[in-house]
Amino acid sequence: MGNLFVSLRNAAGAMKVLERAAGVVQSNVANASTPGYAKQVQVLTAMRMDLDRGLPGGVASGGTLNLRDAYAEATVRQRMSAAGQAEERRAQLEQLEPLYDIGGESGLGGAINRFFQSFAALTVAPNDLAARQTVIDRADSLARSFQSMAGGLAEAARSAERALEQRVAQFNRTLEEIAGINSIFRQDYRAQDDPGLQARLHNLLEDLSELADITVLRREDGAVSIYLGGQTMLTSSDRFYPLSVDLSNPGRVDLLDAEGNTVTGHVSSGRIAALIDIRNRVLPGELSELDRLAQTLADQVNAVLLGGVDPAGNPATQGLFAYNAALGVARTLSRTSMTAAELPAADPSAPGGNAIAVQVAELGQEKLIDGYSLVQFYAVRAARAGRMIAEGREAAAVAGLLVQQARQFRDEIQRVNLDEEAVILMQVQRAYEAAAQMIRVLDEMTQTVLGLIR
Amino acid sequence: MTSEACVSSGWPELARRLRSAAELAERSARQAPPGAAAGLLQGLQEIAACLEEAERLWRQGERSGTEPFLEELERWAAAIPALQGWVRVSAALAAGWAAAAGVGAAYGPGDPPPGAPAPGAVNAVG
Repeated sequence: MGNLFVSLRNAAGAMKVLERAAGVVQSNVANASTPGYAKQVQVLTAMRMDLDRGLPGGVASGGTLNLRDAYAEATVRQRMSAAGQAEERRAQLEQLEPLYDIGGESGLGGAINRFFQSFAALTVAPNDLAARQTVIDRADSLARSFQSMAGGLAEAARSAERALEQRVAQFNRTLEEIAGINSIFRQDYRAQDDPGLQARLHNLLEDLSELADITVLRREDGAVSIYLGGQTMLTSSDRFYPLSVDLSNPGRVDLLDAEGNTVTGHVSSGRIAALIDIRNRVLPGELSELDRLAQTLADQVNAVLLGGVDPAGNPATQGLFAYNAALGVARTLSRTSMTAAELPAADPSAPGGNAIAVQVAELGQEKLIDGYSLVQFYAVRAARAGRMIAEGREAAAVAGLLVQQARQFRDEIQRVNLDEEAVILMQVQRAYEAAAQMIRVLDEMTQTVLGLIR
Repeated sequence: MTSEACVSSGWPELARRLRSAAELAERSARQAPPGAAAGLLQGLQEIAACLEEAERLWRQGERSGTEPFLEELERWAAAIPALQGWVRVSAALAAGWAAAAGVGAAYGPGDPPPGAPAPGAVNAVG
């Protein structure tokens, strides 16, 4: 009966391994759709078979292997940071789109055009009060357009600040959750073998990387240490160090670490980086160019008008536009108290003429700023903004595809394949059937022994 | 792997080990799969070893004091039909569990039902 015992011993050993494998399979199948779950594999080791030496062969358990791939996870996180940054940039830039009107009939471009057209009309009838009033009205409208655009940019800046505060709060909440998981790892070393907890941790790390570029270091006890941009410590064991936003400087926003140090420069990708870049660089840059345009227009028009006289021959005492450079030219640009009757359209040498009106009308065509006319300069800025928005959309789409690709690569390595699991489940089923066979054999053996002893 | 029962000495000790192994097998068989499959196999292996040891003792001429063992052996023999029933249930549950998980058919109309004799099953596992 020796061979039967070998079979039984092998069957028992195989069953123990299968039992463990089935437990692993049960976890894999149950978590097949769990985000962040990495497949677990029961490692099987063939045992030596040499019946003469009492080595029955069979199969032994080699432990459970987690198929989580650190490189694939890091790649996904890296792509998530880039995608988060591109997506946030796209969302913020799209808010600027309505501010720029490239068509020229509405918005600031249209207002500049209409203003100079009103001076062109004035050259035909320089003393016509209706034509003069049109110039005044168009100047009002132009100033309001500058104010409106500056206001739009300021609102976009405030919107970026609010979004930044929300993202940082979200970042801190995620950090706190990770610190909680770290705490579980510290309390129970075996918890790092819990695939559900690992899935949760990696989901949180992905969430975090979408917000900012983080470096993750795995400690021996299973806890993770996280650094912002590889420099600022964010979690250490079960403690976390929240970030905050400094809005005290009206010109910019800064990111502060838990000790109040500025760490703005440590974040280079992710949604937070995009918001800081939009708030501190893109929007101030746009506003600065708008101010330059407004100041050039106002100064040039005022300079020409101050050399003219009204229909009665009185010299101009003020320009058409006023602004406060300290508070922002575009934001504060306004028409002065000059009336239609006071508009100095004539040269002092020829009162009642149109020489000054002609000069102002010609300003509309002159290359006054960076080699462009005022309208052209605005059109170039608007086109640049449009390109920036289009590039933002394209970058977001590409970054999204790269994330998808990185996730696909990771999933190929560590995602649960139900077909593979089915094989093990069938083995468990067969093992029970084998047990039924063994009992039948034992029944026969029992009857044999009973026959002997009775 | 050396069974505990293989090194037993005498009928009373063998009776105790048979009872213990039979209880383990029965207890394991009643648990839902796959939790106690190894216990079931271990119990069956112990029982087989006890039977082999009994045959060896008998053939060596040790034929007195067999009553405790005979009593346990008869108890075990009476328990076999029930044990077979439980194992069939476990096999059916394992198959149903696989099907419920959506990872494979339990068994098709043309297949033998779970627990039905499958030629070569014992050797295939080993």
